[in-house]
Amino acid sequence: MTRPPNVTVLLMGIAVLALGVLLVLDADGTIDLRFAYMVPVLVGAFGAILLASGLASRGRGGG
Amino acid sequence: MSHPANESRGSFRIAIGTGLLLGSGLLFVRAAGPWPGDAIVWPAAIAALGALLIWRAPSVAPRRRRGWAAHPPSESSPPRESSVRVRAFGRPEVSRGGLGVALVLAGGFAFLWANGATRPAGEALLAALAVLIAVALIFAPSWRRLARSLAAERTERIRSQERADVGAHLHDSVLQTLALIQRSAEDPKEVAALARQQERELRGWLAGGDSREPGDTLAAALDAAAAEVEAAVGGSVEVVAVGDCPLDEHGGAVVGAAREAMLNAAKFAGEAPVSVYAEVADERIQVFVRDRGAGFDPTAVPQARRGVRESIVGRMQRAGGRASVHALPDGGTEVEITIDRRERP
Repeated sequence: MTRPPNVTVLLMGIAVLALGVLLVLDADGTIDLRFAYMVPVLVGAFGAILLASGLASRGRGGG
Repeated sequence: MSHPANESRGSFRIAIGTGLLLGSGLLFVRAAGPWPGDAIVWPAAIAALGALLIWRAPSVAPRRRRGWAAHPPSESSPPRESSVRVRAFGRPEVSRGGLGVALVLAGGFAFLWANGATRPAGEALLAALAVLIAVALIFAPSWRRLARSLAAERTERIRSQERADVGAHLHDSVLQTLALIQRSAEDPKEVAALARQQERELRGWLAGGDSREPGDTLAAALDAAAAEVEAAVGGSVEVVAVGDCPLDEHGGAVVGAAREAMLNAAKFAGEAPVSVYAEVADERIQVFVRDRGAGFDPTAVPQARRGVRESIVGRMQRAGGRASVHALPDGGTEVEITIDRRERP
């Protein structure tokens, strides 16, 4: 019997992975990661995690 | 079927997450794209959020309308339970509609302030405030006098109402009794009974407007029994009750036995008053009926006489209590009636 994936944890992993990629590209000089871009990205990632967590909590129900 | 608490938590996270995503989008546009200006976008965003809250305010039962965690009615749990759980999770109990209105107003004010439109309004507000303060300073003494005279008038009205109540009660009770006493002046027993009855009624009224019915409580039933005995036999029966309780089946047995004891005491006590002391505790009810008559030996009562044996002792035994008759050392008799309140046969 396989357990369904935890969407929240999955999304958090993807967010950390994407952040790592962005930081690597910034260090490499491929992109210029400025504060004005970084804040929306972080806020958006946090919002997406919360949204997924809320939807998953609703969908799970009971418990 | 989803649990209400999980559903409310989910709704809260969805709301915050959606808000953060929209904010992130705005911040991104502000950094990268065409941006109309902070003075327009942020107030508009706040007002839009408020409007969304107003439009999304559920029109269900009032208790469910409160809080972030408001959710559609669930068949599985009563409203009270869900509202308690919502409070247990520490959600602020604010109305969605109220918060939405506040946000819309805050957005409008922020828009005016950011665009410099509040200065003229502020000046007008300041002028109005100065006029209000001046008016208050001028008229404060007369308002104070008015408030004082209103309070004095109210106090006087209450006093005159109380005087009218007392007058009406005195007319209905004491004056009527005095008139009856005048008519029965030749019959000392009748006069004493009337005076005693009036005294009892007046004491009850002075003790706080005794509106108890005899069938309501044990103390009221004992008072009523004492009045009946006085009316039937004459003499004086004084009842002192410490504590009270609703009159149930066992209390009824106690009152019945006490009434019989009062009747016997009043018959044989002569002129001396009969004392009834009732004590109602959590564990038991005790009633003592005492007289200062000649006294008697309960064991010497013939078997054919069933007053004490059946109406007092037997009645209490059938109700699960007990009654005993003692001869007092200095003359007189005491009937002790006891029943446990917690022990129910």
